[in-house]
Amino acid sequence: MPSLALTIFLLVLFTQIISWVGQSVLEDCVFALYIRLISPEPSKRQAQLRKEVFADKQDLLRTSAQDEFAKWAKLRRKVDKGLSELEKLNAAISSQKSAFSLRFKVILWLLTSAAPYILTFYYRREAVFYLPPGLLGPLEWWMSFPWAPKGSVSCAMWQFACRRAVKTAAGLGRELFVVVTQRTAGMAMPGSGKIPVPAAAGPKPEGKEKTQ
Amino acid sequence: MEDELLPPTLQNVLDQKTLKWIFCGGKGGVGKTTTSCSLAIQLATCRESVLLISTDPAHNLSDAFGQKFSKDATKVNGFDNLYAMEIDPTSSMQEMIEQSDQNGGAMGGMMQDLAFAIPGVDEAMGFAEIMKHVKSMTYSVIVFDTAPTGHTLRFLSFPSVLEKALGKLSDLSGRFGPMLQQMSGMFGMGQQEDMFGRLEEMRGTITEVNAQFKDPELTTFICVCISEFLSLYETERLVQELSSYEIDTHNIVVNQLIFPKRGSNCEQCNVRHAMQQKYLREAHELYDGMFNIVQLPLLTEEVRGPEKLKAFSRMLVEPYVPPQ
Repeated sequence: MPSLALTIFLLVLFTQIISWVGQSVLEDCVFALYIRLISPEPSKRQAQLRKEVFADKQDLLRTSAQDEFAKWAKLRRKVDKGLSELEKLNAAISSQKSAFSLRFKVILWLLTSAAPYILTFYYRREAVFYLPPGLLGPLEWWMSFPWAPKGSVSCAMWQFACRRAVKTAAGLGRELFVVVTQRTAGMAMPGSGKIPVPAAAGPKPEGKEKTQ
Repeated sequence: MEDELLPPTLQNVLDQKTLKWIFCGGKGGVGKTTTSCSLAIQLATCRESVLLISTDPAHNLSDAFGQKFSKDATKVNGFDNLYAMEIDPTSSMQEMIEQSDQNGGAMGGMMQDLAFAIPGVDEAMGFAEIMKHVKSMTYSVIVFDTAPTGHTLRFLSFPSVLEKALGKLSDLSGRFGPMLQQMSGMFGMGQQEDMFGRLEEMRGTITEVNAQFKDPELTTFICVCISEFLSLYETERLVQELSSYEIDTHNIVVNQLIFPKRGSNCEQCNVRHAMQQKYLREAHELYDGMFNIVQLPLLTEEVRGPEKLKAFSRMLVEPYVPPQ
């Protein structure tokens, strides 16, 4: 059953990617998208109002209260009104966000925590695929743990294997990345260090290299 | 713009017969007392009975009328239907504290500390007490000199804040009341109930007063100012504050305007006149259309005594025309 194997693998990959990105970062991104797609008015109004209040405030600062009291007072009223409206809008948006955050967390939990368990439980008696007989000898039962047919790989085991594989791959990738960046940095360092050094300042770069 | 200008008099206040509470407010020294006395005199000509109350501990009414007033409403000499009284809003609170100190003991003191830790609450309660007291009397209109401060207004117009605070306290008393009673029984004290009973009563009064305050048919606020920057600034703040509390205000009295004689060579007078006119223009630009702006001149004599006040009060209904 290649589709089951693939589904489980994708699910594991998805969970891992979310854990790397971080839930809060993801939530912010998705919320920004959600706001833009579903209800763009409040945030648009907020941005506009912010701009207006800022402009009015600048205007207010430029206006002398003593010389043009009426204009000044009118501007102040406008600023105060804008600020109170902005405050209300901010409260509305933040309550919208908290509602969204709850829903998002529930969905994410269903996808990352609940789904694998449900899947492995539902397909507990199915084989993901069969191993060539006699490959693992006496350890065959371990691969079909807990209820899959003898000689096969069970969902739980496959999921476990996928997770290990993804994590190992990620670790390998990270290490490779570090090595590569270090090497490129190491190549860049002496090159860039040598060029600007004048003959008089001889001992300085040596010290630098030592600390490295 | 010209045709929507409201008349520069307080005639609208005199004509609005439903008004029950009139406040005169503004910063010190702008002529609140003179204005409120004059208004009360004018009201006395067209209402059945008028009560003028000063809640200022400094008590300016006695000064203005040249007659000693006390905590009880006293008829003003020279008028048939004008009464005046001077009260200290914090004194009724003081009485209450002393009273419960006598029978409450240490525990009562603690509860009071709790109750009065809310800023402005003592003033608001004292004020509510006065309102309750005054309501039992039968006057057609009541003029307040020295209006309540911002704190008091906040409590009077948002009883929910106070209600919440007092509700918590009475909840506390419900929970700890039995224990306190036992304790006080042990130490030979008593009458915890009294304190909370009074608090509850106050809450009711404040709620009732609030309903009347927010009704523009019953209550209005007259802002008194002088034509100077700071005074105008305070007035603008007061107007904004009042509108946020939903208390009606549509009159501004600009007091102490100087009108130097034509050809006068008094340098100070002329400079001051120019400055006042400048701020007056600003005030007109800002408030025209919503407010009646009444202009009152600075006289060369002190406005004291019933006769002078009477003469001065004419200017509230007939706009003052500077001598040319």
